[in-house]
Amino acid sequence: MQRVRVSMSARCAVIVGCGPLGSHLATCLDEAGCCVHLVDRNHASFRRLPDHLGTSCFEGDPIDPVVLRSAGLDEADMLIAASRVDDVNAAVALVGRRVFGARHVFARVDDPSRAEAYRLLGIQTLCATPMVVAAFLAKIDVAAES
Amino acid sequence: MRSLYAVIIGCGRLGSHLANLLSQSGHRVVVIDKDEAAFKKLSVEAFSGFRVEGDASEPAVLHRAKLEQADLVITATHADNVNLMVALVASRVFGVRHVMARVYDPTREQMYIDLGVETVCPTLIAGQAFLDLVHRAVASGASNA
Repeated sequence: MQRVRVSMSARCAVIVGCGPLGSHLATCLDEAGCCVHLVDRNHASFRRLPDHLGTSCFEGDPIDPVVLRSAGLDEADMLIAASRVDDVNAAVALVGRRVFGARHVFARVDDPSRAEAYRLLGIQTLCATPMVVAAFLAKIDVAAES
Repeated sequence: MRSLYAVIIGCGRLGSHLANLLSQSGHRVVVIDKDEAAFKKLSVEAFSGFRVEGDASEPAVLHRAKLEQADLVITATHADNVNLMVALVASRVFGVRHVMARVYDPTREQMYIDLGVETVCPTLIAGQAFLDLVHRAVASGASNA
């Protein structure tokens, strides 16, 4: 499938979770010209971010609409729930959709069976687990052939 | 495809899933985990391999798993540094030919590769998939609400 890449300048993203995935997404989107606001329960997580990044960081409970409002979700184009906890990501996505009417809302869900349940609730989920398994299997196939 | 002797370290969601798949495909599989309860994730139908309960950072545990006979070692614990350390021991001390590690931190991935360990980085895989979703959504303009 052809990779689509559009200009991200003048776009604003709120990312929940500054773990390895959230910080990686923040870095990529920031470098693409997007304005990025990060929310994490623990400010120590923000230390993961490279120094040159121009992201804004907000410490607080990401399910709390007050915290999401202060992180600029009212004006944001997109919300990405990328914490390590599937249920938190689903809750954040629902708040983003129903309380803020956020335009583009995505939730990371690592457990494939939960991903299906959340999709039925109308949440756009991304479950990378099968892709990770496929990546290992591809390498194992190469090992078995050699 | 020949049958491999595969040792999987870490019986979490990924490790148990790979163990089930590999065992079902006819490979000889040993799974190591320091928590016996983790082995419950192994499928009764699919998994016909062996379980070794113990801390994989101890060479005695790796000996119990007969690592020196392994064709393939996959380190899939929750901790990057444990995955790297055990991968290096498998490769350098036990001479295992194919060693693969799950690495969450993309900034560390190159270091593993430089040390001869193959890596799979879920962060980069999920990250790429998310960026594709985001770019397509912005390009199409339509809301996904």
